[in-house]
Amino acid sequence: MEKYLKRITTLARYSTRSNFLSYEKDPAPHFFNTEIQKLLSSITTLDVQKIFRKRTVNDNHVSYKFLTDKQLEDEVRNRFKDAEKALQMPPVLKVMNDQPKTISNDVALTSFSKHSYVFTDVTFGLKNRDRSIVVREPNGELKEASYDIKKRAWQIYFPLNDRSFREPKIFEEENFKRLLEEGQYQFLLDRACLQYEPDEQKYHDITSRIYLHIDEHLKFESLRSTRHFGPMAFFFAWHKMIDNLLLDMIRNDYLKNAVELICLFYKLNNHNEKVENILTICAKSDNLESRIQNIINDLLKKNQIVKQIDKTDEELRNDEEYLEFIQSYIDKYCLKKPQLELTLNTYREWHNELKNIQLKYTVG
Amino acid sequence: MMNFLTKIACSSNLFKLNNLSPYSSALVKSIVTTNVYYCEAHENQEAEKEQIKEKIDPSIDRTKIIPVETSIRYLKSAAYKETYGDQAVWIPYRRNHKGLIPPRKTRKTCIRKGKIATGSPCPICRDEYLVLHHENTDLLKQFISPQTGQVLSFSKTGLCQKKHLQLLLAVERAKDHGRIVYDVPQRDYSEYYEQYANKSS
Repeated sequence: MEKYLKRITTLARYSTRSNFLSYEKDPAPHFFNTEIQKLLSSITTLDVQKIFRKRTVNDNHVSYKFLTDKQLEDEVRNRFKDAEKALQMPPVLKVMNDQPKTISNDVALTSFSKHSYVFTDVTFGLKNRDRSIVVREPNGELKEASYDIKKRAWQIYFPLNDRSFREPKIFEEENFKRLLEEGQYQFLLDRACLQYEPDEQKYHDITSRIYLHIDEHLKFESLRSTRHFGPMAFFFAWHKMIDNLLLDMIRNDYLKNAVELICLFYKLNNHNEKVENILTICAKSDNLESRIQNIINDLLKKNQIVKQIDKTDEELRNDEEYLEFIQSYIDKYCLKKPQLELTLNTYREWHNELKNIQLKYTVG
Repeated sequence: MMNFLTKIACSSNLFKLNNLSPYSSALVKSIVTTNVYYCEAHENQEAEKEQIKEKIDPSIDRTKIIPVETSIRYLKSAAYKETYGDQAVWIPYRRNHKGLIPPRKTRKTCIRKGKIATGSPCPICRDEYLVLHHENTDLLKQFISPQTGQVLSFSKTGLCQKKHLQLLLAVERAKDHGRIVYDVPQRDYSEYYEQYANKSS
């Protein structure tokens, strides 16, 4: 009897269409929480060089302007705002429940036509979600359109430029695998965002597969400072697999991000850990304003030639706090303990060397 | 081979005479004897036609279809490098036309009935090893503008209309299969943020 029950449960598990790493609970209220949004956008980092890299543009006209110092400053700040807009994260929502309701059943219309008719409300100014799209079946039933039909109707009357009606070949097994191996993650994710809505099953399958491939091959740098890094971090934190990402962050000296990722992990999985203190330190050490000022000074040629010291004293002190916090995570919740311990120790050595060099400079 | 064909041709005529269609031969297994007399002159004419067919100048002959894989290898070969160097395939080409201003459209096609039918064929037609195919990305990328990301016009590249259409199709397929990577336009999610941010607050 027990064996029989076990067989049933295993069959039930494999019979679900979805990827085995799906969101069981609704992730939306967590994702749109302001604190978690702040953490995610901080983890994404803001590399202006990458966001405003050379792209193919339809309109290649060049304009030259004469600006005062104040106007130049405003322009630089506006560019940073544009950069933040470019990093708008695709939302993480639960998979939709597509159950179209019947509105009426007019049996008198049974022999009217062999084909079903789709009626779309085309009034201008409505959001696609609020549009009513109904289907009259050949058997006389009038019901709400299923999601496939709705999506097609949206694309016919209110088209999204690069969305195609049928499944793009890029998501077929052969092509998808090839692109994953080439490492074209941003391209795949951008196209998935265009083609599917964030609450579709297919979107979740594709994105989770890409994230798992990145995790396996440790290629986080390709998505850093793009709009997809936030949802990826959210995915890892939700499914409790942040270790590889932490490794990458520590190796590349993104300690503040590592701490924020751990805090995100604690918050999403309801671990009672003291997070406020370390987060206030993170917030204080946010250096966006100084970066903007640096760029403005560079443009206005106000920067004097200064010896570039890697890290200030304050930054080194903050790093020590971060290291403590990360160590506590490794002790309690970590799955890849030996690797993380190793990288953390190598970082500590480097950190101590830096401190010694700083001392020499200050003394000398 | 030709003898067999002439025999069948003669027998089909006989079917017509007997008011029997060739297709009814399955039902009516008639024994039709044919006395076929074909003169030697007729036979020689057939042989001559064969020989005439063989006499196409190989530099003009485009009856042989080159597979994509060969074309892909050709683009990486020393022969290609010697011919074109580092330039795109269309850069050394110049259209021939009367007067200062060229006609709006390039010619319809350079190849008619398996032969190059014009002087100065377009950059793709003149080299039989340049095959426009969605897997042949090295070739396709030469025709995509690096600034705009769009396929270059035939007025720039000099391709005949037929090849230009094939190029557009090949590029479209390559982008659909993901063999050519391009900058995807950004999808705006502000409606979701409006909807859910209000709920959470």
